[in-house]
Amino acid sequence: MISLSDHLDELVHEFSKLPGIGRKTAQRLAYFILKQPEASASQLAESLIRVKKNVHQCRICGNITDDEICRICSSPRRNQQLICVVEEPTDVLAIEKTNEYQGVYHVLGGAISPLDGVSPEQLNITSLLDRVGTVESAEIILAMNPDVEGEATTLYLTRLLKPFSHLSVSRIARGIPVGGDLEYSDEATLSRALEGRVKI
Amino acid sequence: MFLTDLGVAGFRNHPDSRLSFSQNVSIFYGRNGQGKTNLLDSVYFLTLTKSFQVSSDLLCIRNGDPHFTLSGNFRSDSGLVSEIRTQVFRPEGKQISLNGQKITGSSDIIGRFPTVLFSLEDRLITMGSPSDRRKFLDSVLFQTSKVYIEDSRKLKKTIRQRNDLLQSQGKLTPSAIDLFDIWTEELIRNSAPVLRRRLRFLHQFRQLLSVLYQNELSGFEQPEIEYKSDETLLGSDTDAEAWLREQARLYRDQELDRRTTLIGPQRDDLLIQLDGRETRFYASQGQHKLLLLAVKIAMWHYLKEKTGETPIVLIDDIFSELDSERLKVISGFLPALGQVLITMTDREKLALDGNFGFFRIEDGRVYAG
Repeated sequence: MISLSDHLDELVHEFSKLPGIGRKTAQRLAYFILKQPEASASQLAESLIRVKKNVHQCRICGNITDDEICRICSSPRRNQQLICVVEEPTDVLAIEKTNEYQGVYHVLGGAISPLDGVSPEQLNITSLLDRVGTVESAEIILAMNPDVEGEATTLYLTRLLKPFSHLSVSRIARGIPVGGDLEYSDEATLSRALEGRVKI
Repeated sequence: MFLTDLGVAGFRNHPDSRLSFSQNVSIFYGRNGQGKTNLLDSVYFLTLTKSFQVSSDLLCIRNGDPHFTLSGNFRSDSGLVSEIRTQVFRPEGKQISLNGQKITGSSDIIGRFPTVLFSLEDRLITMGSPSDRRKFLDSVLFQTSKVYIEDSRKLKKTIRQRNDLLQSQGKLTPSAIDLFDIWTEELIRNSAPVLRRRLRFLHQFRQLLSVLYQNELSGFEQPEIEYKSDETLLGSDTDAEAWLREQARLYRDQELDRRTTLIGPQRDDLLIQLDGRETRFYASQGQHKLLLLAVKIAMWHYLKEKTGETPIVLIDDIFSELDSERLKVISGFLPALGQVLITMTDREKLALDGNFGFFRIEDGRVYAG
């Protein structure tokens, strides 16, 4: 195939490394940038660099932040004795949207997955242990994804946290979405909901 | 369930075939290699979202075509009409829609249009390897339980993770062994529902099989089908989780030593016997054939009961294998099975009275009559 510009090819190549972006989409994006005024291209480039330079992990919880300690950890209104452990920063956003949760978070940065080369050492687990070691008592809520990797991570953390007698550890419930009709729930969800039924 | 209209475009050797069915029994006839089986496969693909002939969807696309399109109109036992439309594109992509709505997972289709295939490959159930018998189990259970499909997927993923953990390490460190124990727990939890559902199924299926073989097909022997795990027969009252936990304990050292998963339902087998003798080693050709008919008709009954819908029956070329006596027996059965689509080379072979639909297949084209 004939190449029109080495610079353009390079940009296409870089775009195609992004998740969910194939060669064709990468090409479309690159041509779009090419047609844009120089100012907006610079803005994009600077924004990319600023993100890499200024956004990092919160020293306490591992969530992303522009500061040393994230907005949630530094908020005086948050209950520091209630820690919800999640896989990714996007999970924090999801739980925050509920406007119900008043505790703080701990972001692991993934789940245990040998196939993806993710071992417990690569996750923010040591910092979780350090963190719970310094408090007098705390409640830990494990809120991993309900997939195989999330469940293995839950098991791993449960075992790890068991020796701490000052902690109460729970996991989030699984079941029927609120506002969902029983008859429209899929069978797998319904059967999990039956398994996890609660005595009243 | 009744398939009223079928459209097959760019699928295997069919450029563009359209068929309408009105009779219960339809017969596709024609010389070998003309595309009779491909028509059955297109129905199978619509209702079970994959081919029974080839493992890759892409291999179903006609030579030189960019994609294939299958469409089927189905009428349920209660009279509801639904349309499935399935397309597979090169280089990769499958789109399935049900009544015009795109569906995301094949589990939204599988089981809603129950289907039983009779083919020469069935012989693997009584003669083949354990994996062939597990495939049979799955082919029934996938159609009766969405939860089983989900549980099986989860189990498969768990095993891949666990094996990867065992195989990717040089020397197994204490922390890797800790992790191994975590994945063992995960394996037990994800195996137990699969095992439980299989045992429950067999409990019911063996009774169906016995009645069909002895009473309906006049077989002389007593057929038995049992679930075998690690050389032990498990009854329907087995505590699945306790069994798996014990297996995990017994095989822990061996698994760590051989660096692979040695326990779990993905290694189990069925023990199939006639009068207490394992068919794999002792049954005659005739006994195998009769037993397989019974197995498949029992599957039909089981699916009908569990899904509440009469399964569609696809019969691929098994008539050439049957002697006239058995032909008579199966011919007697056919009308009671609901909609049946049959391939055969010779249209006169099934000498039957009755109102059949005939389709002549020639070089990927279909001619009614």
